[in-house]
Amino acid sequence: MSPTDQSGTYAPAPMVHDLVAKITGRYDLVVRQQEADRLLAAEGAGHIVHDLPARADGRTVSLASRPWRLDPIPIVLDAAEFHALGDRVIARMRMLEAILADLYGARTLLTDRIVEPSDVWASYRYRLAAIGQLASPRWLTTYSVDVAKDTSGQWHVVQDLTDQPPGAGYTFMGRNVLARVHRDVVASLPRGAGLRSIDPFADQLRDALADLAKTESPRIVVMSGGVEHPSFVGQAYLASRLGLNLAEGADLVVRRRRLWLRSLAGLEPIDVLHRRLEGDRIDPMEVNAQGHGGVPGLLDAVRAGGVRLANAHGTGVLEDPVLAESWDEAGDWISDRYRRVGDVEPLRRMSAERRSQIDFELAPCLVGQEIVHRAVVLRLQLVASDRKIEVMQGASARVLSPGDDPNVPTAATAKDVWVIGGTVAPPVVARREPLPQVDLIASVPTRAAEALFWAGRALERAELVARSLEVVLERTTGVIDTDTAEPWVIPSSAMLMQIAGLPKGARVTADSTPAPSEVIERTLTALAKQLGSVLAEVSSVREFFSTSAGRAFARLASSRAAIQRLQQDNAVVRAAQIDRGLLDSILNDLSSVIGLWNESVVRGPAWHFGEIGRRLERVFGVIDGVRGALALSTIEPKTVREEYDAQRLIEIVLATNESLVAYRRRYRSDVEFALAMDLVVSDERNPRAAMSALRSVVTEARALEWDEGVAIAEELVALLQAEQYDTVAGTMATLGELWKGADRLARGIVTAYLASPLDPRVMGRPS
Amino acid sequence: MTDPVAVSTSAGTQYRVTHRTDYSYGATMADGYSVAYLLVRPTPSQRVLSSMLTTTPAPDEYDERPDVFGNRMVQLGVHQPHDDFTVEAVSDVVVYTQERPRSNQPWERVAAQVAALRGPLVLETSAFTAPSRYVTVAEHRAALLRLANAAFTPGRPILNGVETLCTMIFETFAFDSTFTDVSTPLGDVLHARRGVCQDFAHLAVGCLRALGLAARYVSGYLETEPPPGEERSIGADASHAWCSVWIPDHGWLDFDPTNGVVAPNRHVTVGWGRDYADVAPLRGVVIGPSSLQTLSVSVDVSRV
Repeated sequence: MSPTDQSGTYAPAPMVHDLVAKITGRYDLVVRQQEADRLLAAEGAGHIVHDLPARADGRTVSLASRPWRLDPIPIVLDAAEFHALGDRVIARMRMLEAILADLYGARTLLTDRIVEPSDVWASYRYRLAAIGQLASPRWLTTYSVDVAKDTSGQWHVVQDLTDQPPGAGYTFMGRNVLARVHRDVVASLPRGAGLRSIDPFADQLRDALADLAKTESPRIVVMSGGVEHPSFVGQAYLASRLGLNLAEGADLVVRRRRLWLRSLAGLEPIDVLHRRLEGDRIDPMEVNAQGHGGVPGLLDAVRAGGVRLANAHGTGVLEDPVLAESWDEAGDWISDRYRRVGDVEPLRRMSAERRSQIDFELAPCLVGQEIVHRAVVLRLQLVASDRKIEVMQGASARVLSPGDDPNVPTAATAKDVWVIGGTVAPPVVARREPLPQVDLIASVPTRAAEALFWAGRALERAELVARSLEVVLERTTGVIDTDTAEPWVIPSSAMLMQIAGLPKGARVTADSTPAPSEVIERTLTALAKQLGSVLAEVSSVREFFSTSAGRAFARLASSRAAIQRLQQDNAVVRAAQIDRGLLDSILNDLSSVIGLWNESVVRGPAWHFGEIGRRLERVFGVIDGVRGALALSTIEPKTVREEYDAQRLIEIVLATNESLVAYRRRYRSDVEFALAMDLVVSDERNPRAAMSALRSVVTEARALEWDEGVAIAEELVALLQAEQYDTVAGTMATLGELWKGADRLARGIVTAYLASPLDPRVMGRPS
Repeated sequence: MTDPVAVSTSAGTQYRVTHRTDYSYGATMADGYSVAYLLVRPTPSQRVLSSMLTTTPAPDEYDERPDVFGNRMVQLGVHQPHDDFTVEAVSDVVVYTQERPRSNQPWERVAAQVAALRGPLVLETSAFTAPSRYVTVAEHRAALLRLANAAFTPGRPILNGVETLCTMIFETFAFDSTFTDVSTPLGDVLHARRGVCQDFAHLAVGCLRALGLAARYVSGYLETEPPPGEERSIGADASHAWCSVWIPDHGWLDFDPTNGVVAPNRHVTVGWGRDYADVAPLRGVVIGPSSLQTLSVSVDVSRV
């Protein structure tokens, strides 16, 4: 325990000093910063980038999130000080709960003009639909509060976050990273001064959510704002930390005054919704609702008791900046009125005018190679259950740049907050029966399956584009636009066009094929676009992928950024300027993602959809490669020179499909058209062939009991078995049939399973 | 907040209101959710004989409940495939002449009383003193006050002020149904000096709120065919909107700036709110493919 001085503030305990000194004094702090960056990127904070393209369902992803970094120096508080602070923020949460109950209930704060009534009504966050509602059993299930300490050791509230209190997910993520970076430091903490775990908070939160429901084993989902939401990464992390499904508005539907999750298994009832979307966005039917990300009729279901919300609708009014300064006085008034005595005094907010006069206590931070001292704001997490209010035994903090308003820091540096010492009480969480919705394998939101399907397609296409680009570049020796360029360069650039999906019309023609250097530049653009699609899709289903996959995604995001930089620097990228290392790295990362997809994703319904997407795209890719290469070439050589060119071209097709080595090992001869085509299209022993992909589609379609899919895929298998590849024309005709069949499969699966509802649109307005 | 049933001694006029809205979605929708403010409420000068709402297709879910202002709000859900949606409300009401306030204090005194109210009257008035989505007082305070101050000169009795403001809007703003839809920003209306009834209601409400008075937006209808010898009113073939001002020791007094009438007696009230957004006759969302939607509305108000 640390000594308490006369004013009631705590002098820092020596062990806190020691620990901070030990960390700031480390010679390898910069290395640890890099380690933190790397781990954070892998957790998913890195690969959600600002300019992701349109997703398969037409929604565009444009993120307002700021990049953030985790400072390697934690803020350390001793347990006694943290405990006293915790008691005061618990008292504040109780105070805010009482204020909400009044604002939406008796409204004495308005009728006695303790709060200016017109200011309350003017706030769009004062929700009309919540007035007169009983938030049952409570308004605030979770509460985040930003606090700062002044140089005299007094804590102040900077802001209350009550609508969808953010930060718990990021705090778990930050702790996970920093505890690994400083594993040695944590291990060496003396007995009685150990680092307190924040893990119990996850159980406390899950229990508090379960408490809201009337049933014994309630189904709970976390409702995210979607990939577009600035806190999406934290929301997704929190959901998987809690073992709950992450759902978006389009995943949920209200029927018969209940809330249901649209899953592959049909509609599943939901008892509790932990909303991570602001109150004015959750139900587009409400007066003055914003956006279309919510669930129409949700508040009707809430009103009818068909689903419980955490937090209740309307709690955001406390965050209104015009009103925020009134709550301390309102709390005093309510507590006088109800003659509450003996309670802990709630921690008070500092007024905007006093803020500039307060000297904040500074914390050491690593900036570049140096340690500088900066003001910090801590974000504490609280959760209320039927039993009590708990405070997470740790927190995250934001570093303020000089001159920052603590409410809106420009800095994007976060800090982990450590609480050390104190007796660790045994967990008092009552164990419940396992909650049924924890089965993330069977009950998959339809949208997640859809995202995985498109992710599978984008992954395979990105791999094919990158591979074909590499193969063509390897064979050009940098000479591609001059008269000395080899004749097969033109047909191979036609193949690149086709694979990258560039021709405006359906087919490539000599006239429509630009100069090879331009083709390469445009293929590179297409590659960046495909990588963007991969990232956009996997970001929304991040919970299906491992941390190792997260690392690969983070590297793919930076490779994509590197391509975009390359293109900004040069109007036309010369082939020679393309860093082959970049393509190598992209191919490596794509391969590891595909490998991890096969090795570490549980084989549930979602996996089948991703797998079908990936295999169908391979079929399309094989067709595109062959068609593109043959589009400008007759392959019926009349001279020896032409024979040589035709062979080079077929080699490129083989190499693009990673089948050149297999060909040489098998035939030990010059490449021949029929044998080569058989190998890349029809040979079921070649895992890269269209035939193998079709066989996998048959298997996955059987697993889904998708009879139509099985029948079509089997027809296509028979088609390829029969083809002899005697003539170019015959080959092209067969590939045309194959394309039509694969297209029927791709459309069929979307119609049969995935045709998810579009975002709701306003009635009476053209779309 | 309950409104007393009309007890006016004057002979009222009975009306039948038929309000029909047809949506044609141009594609098959899987789900439709709508909120209707179409059922009329009783007021001190309006007796409701009946008010019914029907839809085609019939709704799978139908809920009626009072909103925070005591309006009759209907929430509808259609969960079967449908290409069209028709909502029809038929109401029979008796409308009486509104009473005028007996006292007529200077408007400043009224504003001071509004600001100092305590108790239940705060709940009755305070929502209507605040800026709202369409009544953007803060953004247009100067322009609103220029207009308001011309009508409400210092020391002027409130009734005279309201009458002048009502006449000024009627005479100096042009009714132009091509100019706006219901969501026109107040600034555009102030600048162009033209608009439709919703705009003039928002404008008048904005002027009064800028002065510190409580003023609400009223949604309803106007008699379609006037009695013989009288002129046809403006805005009679669609939903109409006007406003109401709070006067101490009296209550709410309606006035219609689109027609320049104080205490109108040919108006059927559906409900009221801070502005159009609170009581839009019909709003909703549909879930289905993108398509070109069309919408047609017809309103008939006849004497029975």
